[in-house]
Amino acid sequence: MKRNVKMMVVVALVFGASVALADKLSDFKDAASKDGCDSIPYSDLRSTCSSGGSGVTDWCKNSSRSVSCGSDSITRDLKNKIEQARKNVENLKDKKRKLEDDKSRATADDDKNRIGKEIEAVDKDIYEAGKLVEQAVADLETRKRLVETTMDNINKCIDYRRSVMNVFASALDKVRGETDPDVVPYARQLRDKYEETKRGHEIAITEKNNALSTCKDSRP
Amino acid sequence: MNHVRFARMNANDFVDQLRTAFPPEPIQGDGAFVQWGTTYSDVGLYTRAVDGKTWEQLDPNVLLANTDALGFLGTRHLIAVLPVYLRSVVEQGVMSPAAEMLPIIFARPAPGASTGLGHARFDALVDALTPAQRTAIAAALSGLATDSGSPGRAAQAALDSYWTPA
Repeated sequence: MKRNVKMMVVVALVFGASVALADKLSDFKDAASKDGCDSIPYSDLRSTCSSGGSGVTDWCKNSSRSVSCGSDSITRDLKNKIEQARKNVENLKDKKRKLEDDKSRATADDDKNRIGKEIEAVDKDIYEAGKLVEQAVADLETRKRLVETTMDNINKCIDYRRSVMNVFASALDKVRGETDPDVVPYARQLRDKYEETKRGHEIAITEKNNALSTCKDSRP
Repeated sequence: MNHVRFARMNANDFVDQLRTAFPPEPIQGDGAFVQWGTTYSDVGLYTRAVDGKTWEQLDPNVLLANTDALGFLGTRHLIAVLPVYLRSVVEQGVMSPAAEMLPIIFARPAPGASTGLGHARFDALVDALTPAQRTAIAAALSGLATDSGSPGRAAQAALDSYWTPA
């Protein structure tokens, strides 16, 4: 009786092992013919890859999220605009002060009236120039918020891109370690795939790192 | 801003230049990623987006949302879709979604360095380009290089690495 039980256990183990091997072989065959995350034969890594891929779609490719600050020259231009607008206000104020001096020295009523009207005109110009300063400051503030939001988005995008690249690096390590003779030919195919496509992932990360660096340079 | 002025002045002429350099031939989506991009996560989406279309029929929104594809596409397919990205940088300047990517793709790796497409792929790309296509790429990079910020400097570096005549 005891012997029969032992035999049954051994048969079950051998059968289980061969089923597992058949499943594994099937996973590798499938993976070798597929692309993207489906080219990973290990279900845990495949699942991590898929969720990383969804993160990439959401944080790197979603048109509702900004992932570019354009150029740091945009921020510089906005700051120059504020400086110029402020200079303009100061020049107008100088002009007004001179006119007020002129008016105080004028003796004839006609001159006083004429200069008074000029001062009124300059006051209007100062008001308009002040509004331009306010607008330029608001534009820079908007830019600052955009830059900060974009940096957050890019950081998340990079995290997801790195996670996808790291999954393929882990998959590469694992396929290199495969020793089963039936699996090895497919493991080699997969190894080549992962190695050939590594650069694509690196380029995608470099692009976002450059975009992040542009944003850092774009902080007002 | 200089980059915007340049783009607006030359956009129409540049599209004509692209039409001459990149004939409107239908792109075969199949195999676009076989050479260098089987692990790219959007193989299916991108392949469907380009299959059977000429470059002018491509949806720029889809292609520009997927600038990462440029690092995974095979040489022939990369050249086939380039006009969409080149046009975008000339029309939108540094605000183009391709403005950070193109200088990486077009920068020839320095000897001993393994940057951008890498030596083998970069050489395969420039070998497969016609003189008119090379001129169009140089023009797009020159437009981007008018920006005084970091994207402009990256574009200038890419130009200097290969595309500017000695």
